[in-house]
Parts: sequence; C-alpha cells; structure tokens
Amino acid sequence: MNWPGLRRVDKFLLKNQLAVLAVLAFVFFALVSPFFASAFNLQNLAREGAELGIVCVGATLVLLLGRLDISVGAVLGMSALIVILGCKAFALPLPLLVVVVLLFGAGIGAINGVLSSVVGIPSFIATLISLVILRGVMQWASSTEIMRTANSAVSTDHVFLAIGNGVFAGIPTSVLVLAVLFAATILVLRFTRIGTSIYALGGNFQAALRAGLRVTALEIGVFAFAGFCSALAGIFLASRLDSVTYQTGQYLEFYVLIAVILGGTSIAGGVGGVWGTLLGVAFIGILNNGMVMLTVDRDYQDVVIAAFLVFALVGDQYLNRRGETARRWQLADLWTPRQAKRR
Amino acid sequence: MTSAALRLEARGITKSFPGVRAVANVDLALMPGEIHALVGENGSGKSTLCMVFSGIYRPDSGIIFIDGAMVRPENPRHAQALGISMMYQESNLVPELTVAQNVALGHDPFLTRQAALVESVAAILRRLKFDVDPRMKAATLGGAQMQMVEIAKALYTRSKVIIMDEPTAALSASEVQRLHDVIREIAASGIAIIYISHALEEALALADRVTVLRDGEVAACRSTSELCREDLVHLMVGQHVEIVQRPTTRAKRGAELVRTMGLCWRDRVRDASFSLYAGEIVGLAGLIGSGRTEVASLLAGINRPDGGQIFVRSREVDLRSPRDALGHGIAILTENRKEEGLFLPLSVAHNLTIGILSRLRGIMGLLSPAREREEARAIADRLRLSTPSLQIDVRSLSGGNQQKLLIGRMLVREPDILIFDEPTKGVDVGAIAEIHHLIRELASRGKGILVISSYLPEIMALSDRILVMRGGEIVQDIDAADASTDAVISRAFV
Amino acid sequence: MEGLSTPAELARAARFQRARGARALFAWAGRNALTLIFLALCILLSAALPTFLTLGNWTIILQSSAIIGVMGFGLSFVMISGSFDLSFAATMLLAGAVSARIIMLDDQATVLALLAGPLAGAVVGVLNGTVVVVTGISPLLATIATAMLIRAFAVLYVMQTWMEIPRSAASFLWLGQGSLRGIPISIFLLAGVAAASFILLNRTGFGRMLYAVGASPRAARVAGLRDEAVRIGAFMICGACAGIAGVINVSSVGGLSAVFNISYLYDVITVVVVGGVSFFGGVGTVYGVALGLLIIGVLKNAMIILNTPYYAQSMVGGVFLLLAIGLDSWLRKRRAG
Repeated sequence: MNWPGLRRVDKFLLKNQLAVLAVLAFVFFALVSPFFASAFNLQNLAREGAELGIVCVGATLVLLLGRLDISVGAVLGMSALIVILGCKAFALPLPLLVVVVLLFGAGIGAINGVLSSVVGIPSFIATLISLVILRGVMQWASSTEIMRTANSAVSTDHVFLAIGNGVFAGIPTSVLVLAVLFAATILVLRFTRIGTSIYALGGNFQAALRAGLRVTALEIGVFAFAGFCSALAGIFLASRLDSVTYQTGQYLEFYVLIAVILGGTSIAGGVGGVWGTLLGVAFIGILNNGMVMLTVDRDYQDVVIAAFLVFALVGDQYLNRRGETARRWQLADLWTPRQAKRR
Repeated sequence: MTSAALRLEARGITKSFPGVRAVANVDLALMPGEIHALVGENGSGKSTLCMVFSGIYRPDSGIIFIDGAMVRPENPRHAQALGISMMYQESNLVPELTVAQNVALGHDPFLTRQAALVESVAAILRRLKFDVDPRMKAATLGGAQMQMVEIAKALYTRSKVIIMDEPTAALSASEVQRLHDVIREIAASGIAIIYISHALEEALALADRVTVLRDGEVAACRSTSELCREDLVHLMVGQHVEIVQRPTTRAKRGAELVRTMGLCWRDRVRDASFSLYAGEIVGLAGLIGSGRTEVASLLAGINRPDGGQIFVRSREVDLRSPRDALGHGIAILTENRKEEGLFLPLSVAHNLTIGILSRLRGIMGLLSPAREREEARAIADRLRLSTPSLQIDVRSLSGGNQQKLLIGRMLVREPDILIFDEPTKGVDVGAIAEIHHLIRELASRGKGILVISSYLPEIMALSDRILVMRGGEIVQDIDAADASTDAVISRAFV
Repeated sequence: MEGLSTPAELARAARFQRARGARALFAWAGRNALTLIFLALCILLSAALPTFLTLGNWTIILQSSAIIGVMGFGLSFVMISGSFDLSFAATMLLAGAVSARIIMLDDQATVLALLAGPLAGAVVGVLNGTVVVVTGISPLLATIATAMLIRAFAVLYVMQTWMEIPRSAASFLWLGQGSLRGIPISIFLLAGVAAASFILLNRTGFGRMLYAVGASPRAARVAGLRDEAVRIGAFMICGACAGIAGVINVSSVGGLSAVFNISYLYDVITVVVVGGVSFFGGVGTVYGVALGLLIIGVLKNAMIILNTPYYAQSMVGGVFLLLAIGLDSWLRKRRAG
C-alpha cells in the first residue's frame, strides 16, 4: 500500500497516539487507584464507555456533515426519563417503550435536521433550542409526584434491569449493542452510497449539490440517527441507574465532542470516521472513570476535560488545514447553512 | 445541417436577473466532436449561459436541443442525465474521497462494489493516459491532476457535451499542452466541448470555432482559422472602449523604490526579480495562473515569501502583514474587491474613512460625525464618486464606483508604491477611462506603480515598462515603447 | 392625458399608486420591525394584564433585565467582530466571586470590589480572546472549553460553596438592592453600560474597526487594520461587561453560589439575536440590543405575572428564539436563492 501523503502519516500517528494515550491512562489509573482495575469497576467502565460510544457514533456522522448537535445529552436524559416513567410508574410493556423512545429520539433528531437544512438555522442554535425545550420538560417532569415515586422505587422487572446490567457471554449488553451499531455504521459509511454522500456533503458541499446528492434528506436522516443513538444510550442508562434526575445527561455533549474530535473527525466536516471515535471514546471513558475513582474534584475534572478539548481543537485545526493558509475560523464557517444559488 | 445532426443546439437563450440582463437571445450550435471556444469579457454572460446549459439556471426563454431532441435541464443532476456536464472554475472534488469515488459521485449504486468501481474508473483514466491510482484520495492531487479527474467524471457519466470553465487557470504551460491533447482526444470520440477561457491565444489554438459574447449577446461566431487575437479583442470589446493612448513623452524615472530578488512562494512564484522606480508604471502581464497576483501579494505583505528578498528604498524589509507593507508605503488594490477590499454591510462613508480614523477625532477624542461627513465627502469628490448619499450600503455602488472608493481609501495613507491588480475588472466603460487617468496622474506625481491586468491592451497603453510572467518567473522585462503585442503574447504563452 | 380616460384604466392607475404606498410602508415596517413588535407587545399586554403598565412593574422588568442586558451588550461586541463567546456566564461567576471575596475581607471596600469585578472579567476576556484569535480555532468550541476552565478556576480558587455578603457591607449591597429616587441602582448601571457601548461602537475608531473586521476580516487585514488586536479587544469588553453583571448579581442576591445556570447563556443569546446582531459579523446596533432586551424582558414579565412555571418560561424563550432566528435564516435563504 502506498502512502499518498504526509497528512495520512500524520493522521495515522495521531490515531496511534490516541491508542497509546488510552493505554497509558489505563495503566496510570490502575497503578494509582486500587479500585480502578477491579472487575466491578471495569464492568462499570465498559458500560459507561458503551453508552458514551453509542451516542458518539451518531454524533460522528453529524460532525462528518460539518454540523453540530448539542442536544444529545438532553435527548438521552429525556429518553431515560420516559423509560423510567413508563416502566416503573405506568408499567408499560417494555418492547413498546423501547420502540416509542427510539422513535422519540429519531423524531427530535429529525426536527433538528429540518431546522438546520430546510429552515436554515445554524445547527448550534437549532440544537440549543431543542436542548432548552427538552431540559425544560425534564425539569417539569422531575418535579412531579409521579417522577419522585418512580425514582425511589426499586425496579423489579428483571428484563428491564437486564438491559443495562446484564451480561451476554461475559460481555455487558450495552457493549454488544455498541459493537453491532458500530459495525453497521462502518458498513454503511464504507460500502454504501449514503456513506460516500455524507463525506461528500461535509467535504465539499458545492460538489455534492452539483452531483445531485439529496442534501436535505441526508441531513435530516443523519440528525435523526444521532437522536436515535442518544435515545438508545438513554435506555441503557435508565436501566443501569434505575433512576433519572433533571440533570441526567448534562454536559454529555462536551464529552461527545471531545471524543469525536480527538478521534480524528474534524469539525470542518468530511474528514474522519468511527474508528477514531472508538479510540476517542475509550480514552475519554478511561479518563473520566479514572478521575472519579481518584475522587478528583469535579472542577479539576472540568479543567482536564477542557484542556483536552482545546488540545483536540488545535490538533484538528493543524491537521485539517485546508487551502494554502491556515484556516482562520469564522463563526460563519461552522454555522453557515450552506446555500447554493438556485433559480 | 439539420438539427438532428447537431450535438447541442441552443436558440434564443435569454436569462435576466433583477437589474441586469445577463444573456440575451443567444444562439449556439455544436457538432459532435467540435471544440467550441466561448470568449468574452467579465460580465459578458459566458458563465451564465453555461449555467443555463448545465441546469443551474433556468432560461427565461429559448430552447435547447441535444442530438435533435428538445431538453430542459431542471438541475445539475438532470443536466448530467441529459448528457451535459460542466467543469467549474472552483474545485469540484471532495478531498477526503478517493479519485474513484469522486468520479462516480452521485452515480454510484447503493452498495458500492469497490473493485468494479475502481476498475471502471481505471479504464477511463487509462483512456485519458492519466497515471494515477483511483484509490488515492483526491486531496493528494495537484491542480492539473484534479482537472483530469473532472474530465474523468464527465466521461463516466457518458457526457455528450462537456463545458469547461477556465480549465487552465492554474496550470503551467506544459500542463496546458497536456490538457489540450486530452481534450482533442475526447473530442475525437464525438463529445462536443465548450471551452471558456480568458487566454485567447489558447482558445484560438485549440478550438474549431469560437463564439464571442458581448453584453450578453453574440457578437460573432466564426471559425478560428478566420480570426486572430486582435479580431477577438475587437469583437469582445466592440467600439466602446477607447484605451487612452500612452503619452508619447515618457515621464522621468526617479529613484528605485522597490527591488525584489529571487522571490519564491509555494510553487506559484519561482525566482521573481525586478525593480520598480518612482514615476513609472510597470505592467505585469501573463496568463492567469502565472503568478502575478501572488507576486503582488508578497510585495503587499499579504503573504510572506518562502525565499528571496525585498528591498524598499534599498533597505531590506520583512513584510509580515499588509500593515507592515503600508508602513513602508506600499498599498495594494486586490483583484477581488468583494472579499479583500470592501466592507460589505457597511456604508460608503464607513468604507471611505476606515483608513483615516485618527483624522476624524473631535471632542474628547471621540469621532465626530460632522468631521466624518466632511472627510468622506472630500474623498468622494476628489474621485468623482457618483452616489446619491454617503450613507447607503456600499453594495449598491456600481463596480466602477466601488473600485474608485477603494482607490480613494488606498490613497489616504499617501503610499509611494501602489499595486493595482485588475483595476478595471467588472468596471463600466466610463469609469475605466477615469481609473486609467487616475493611475497616470499618480505616476506623474512620482509614485511607483505596478499594474496587473489580463487585458493586454490595457497593459500596453498604461505601462512605461512591461514585465512578462510565466510559470512563476519573470521572463521578460521590456520597455513598452519597444514591445509589440505579439512579442508579449508569445513570451507569455509559449 | 389620453391614456387614462377610461374608468378602468383610472382605477388601475389608482391601485398602482396605492400599492406603491403599501410597498413603502412594508419597507419602513421591515426596518423598524423591532420597535413595532415591542410597542405591539406592550399594547397587547397592558390590555390583557391590569398591572402591566405600572411604574412598579416596569421597575421590576428593568431590574431583572439588568444582568442579562449588561452581558448582552458585551456579547454584541464580540459578535459584531465576527466571533462568539460562550464563556461569559462563567466569567460572570468568577468576577462576582472575586468581588464577593474582597467584600468579605473588608466590608467597606465597595469601590475596590466594584472595580475588581470588571477588571477580573476584562483579564479573562483578554485570555479568552487570545486563545481564540491566535490559534484560529472555532470560537464556539474554544469558548465552551474556556468556560469550563473559568468556572473551575472560580470554584476552586475563589469561592467557597456558598458565599454570603455580610449585612455590614451596606454600600456594596446598595448597588444591587438599593435605589435612587425610586429607581434601582442596577438600572443606572445598565443605562451606563448601554451608553458606553453606544459611544464605543459608534464614536470611536475601535468601534469602526470592529464593524470592519467583522464584515470582512480579510479586507481588514489588507487595509492594514490590526484585526487581531481589535478582536481580542472585543473579547476584553465582553469579559468586562460580564464582570459588571457579576457584581450586580452578587450585590443584588447578597451572596453567590456555584450552581451553573444555563438560562443566563440562553437568555443573553436570545436577547442579542432578537436584537438583530448577526452571527456573521459586521451587523448589530446598541439600539437593537436594547430593544431585544426590552422585548424579552416584557415577555418574561408577562409570564411571571401569569404565574407560568419556571421551566415553561425557558421553553417559551426557546420558541421565541426559534422564531426570531428561524425567520432571519429563512429570509436569508430566500434572498440567496
């Protein structure tokens, strides 16, 4: 295989760096904290990582398009809330609940997509609005009596508990689901026209338009998929924690962003993929879990995370410089609903 | 010739936008395998006409036939399906996708069969004698290679008509030759080609016939063997423009203001060395892509040279930003005023006074609106800027007025060295003469002026001395009095 | 004039004349849309709610808008320059904590505390601005990261979990809770910031350059303007305004807690966007932001009077933001193609 360019080597190194970093972090925490490497914690780590990973798969596609979705945490929280309520307060049949929640997530995502592609609202604002509205609903719902009883009661539905806590051939269920989702996404990205179109849209919007790609449908679909992923992760979280607060999923969007960007997907769009995201998720998951194990102050955790975000952004800027001069970001770059002149 | 025998026939194509009639009643007829050049000044309607063909615009009136069948391209995709494909000026490739994926973009089946795709694309590339692995990412290709991929795209969709919009803009002379060979080859297989270019010699050498557009109408449609370059220019420009002829007496040349030695930058400028003296106008001629704008950008501090030296008044300088350059007395009027000149949502007055803010101070050091009005009015009057009010949006000014505004802004800092890059691009006829007059006047006041223009008569008329650039180097430095148009062209093109 | 003799043609000419008047009316309405919306809202609400038009109610509206308004003016500087700053809420927290710390150390050091807030904010703003401008990374994401850092810094080094201003710091507390001739001091501060913003934006070279840099950074660079300094300056002003807002907040509440409140971020963005400041830079006026503030303030006030629960308020705010920006984006899209 030939190396078509230095950029490729750079990116390869970065991806490898991430794997090395993840391993280093793992070893570090294992040495420093007595509980880190315990079977219990590792299982927990795997589950947390799987939930993050599921959300990140969807988020990766959104970023590939060159868009931003900051409502993922709210969708996850809302989905978890629906599940908890439905299961514990109203004793609805689980399969129905799952379908409803997934449709809900996809629906919110689709609305985000419509706002972004059809109406032309910058994706940041569109998803910010979704976030606020969903969080508002969550705040209201959490203050009601039903929610309180639902949260305090311990679930007796074995199937429900098994979703988030179960093991299948020694591997946590959420990890298995992540693996399936991941594989499916890779297949779609690599081997179908949809995947090529996503990269095209993010990489050169004009070219995609001129080639006749169905830009609007694709954007709506990708956002819907992201919503679906968030909802799916929400189901697992709800089952694992057996309760939900109005703060569930808060700040998730930052972790997601860092994991995806560290993993090599550029916020410019058109560059990257889910393999890198997987590594990013692994690293962030280990980092997060490890810091909690070391009972690092919440705010120091924030500092670490923020520092990595800056590092990821600068690295992304360096690696994905397009054009001959360093691309100075303008607000419009990330947000502009890219229009074509049509008559 | 019956309609059915023609590959592409267009009758009476008209397209207007609010306020401007871009294309008026244009007829065009192409035989299979014909290479047809489309030339005209900026704003003559070439691009608009082709965008009508390629489905981006829908014509207000007129009909299009492909192989005798009437068609109405609704959008670019539809046009491709009808057999019309267009190669745009700006890059139309997705950098992260492979060559094969780019070629097949939009036409690949739902489940990509990698091997089959690569094979079919490789076959097309072989036909073009283009040696590149279809599995490589498009980001790794150079300019000429990207053109090849675009042609491959057109062949993949089995185009019957390929429209090329300035395909050689960024190519070196040898790459242009290669491209022309390829074009001749695919034309030989029956594909009709519309070739839009500013490089008139190129177009004449390559094409079988040429259509000249002027102000949206067809000025002429002849076989290229009947015409020479001068004829084309004459047809493009019509009777309207009188280039103010060079005064017979040469202004006295003063001290050396700028000297560059061995400037190089990326691969666009290789070893540019020249001098500029006070009181003279130096014209920088060459084809698009020869590096003229890039050299200007190095002088103006917009880019930093990778190698070589710049001396201003015999002292070596390191120009790190336009601000540095302005500090040394070098000012530039760039060629795309919309992006690098004007502040678009701002008013005319704001645009004018942005360079002299310190002069507008009034009470307590704050800007005084009254003084701003005065100063803006003064500059506007000096340039004879015609505008109903100074508070209107700068976007509503005509091209000529916008250009004059920018010149006025350039002048407020009283630079000694002025660079004009395509000063009359998109400028109406009346303003062109004014701008030329202005440039002459500035030279007579002792400024050193560098003018870049793709319009050779302009260079010939304005310059005291002409530098010809080709492939990033300055290949000739001649006195304008000794130069003839043919000599300049041949040095630029060959 | 022969052509107009028939009644049908006369009628047609008359219709055309009227239509021209209507078109001009539409154009005027478009330009002054914000003022009209505001007036319409006031008229509507004063008809529907009896307590709306009282002086007391308006005092409440302005007072609760003070913090958001001050930050809104600050943010508009950054947005006009073509960037964005999501960290102003965190800066507000930090600045408030700094001034609270000072008061707690010496409860008569009002002036020092009053100045320390904006000063801290300005320092943070410069750091923020430097990161964004020099590295060239997306301001949106970069300021998300700096927001986390600022907040962490505030919580770790400046604050205790709950800080309370002692009763003896009367003059400091007067800033946020006191009033002069019946008008709360915070409103004076808001008016002061508005006036200063107007002067800065419209009557200084800095303000002019701000618009230019936001309209076209490339043109600004070619014209020789110090675009990086201008942009960092905008961030500094935004930080200083957040600092002032922090002082008002601490002073009016009488204390400070570390709870992160996303509604500030959200409300300020809404005010600024409704007020006509563009994300793309180069567009925006102090008058517009002021109107945006009033409109949102009036809406919130109406919701409070109607006893709408808290979560619903943010949702209504969300809908309003959606409408405002949706309309703007939709119109822009239609204009472009």
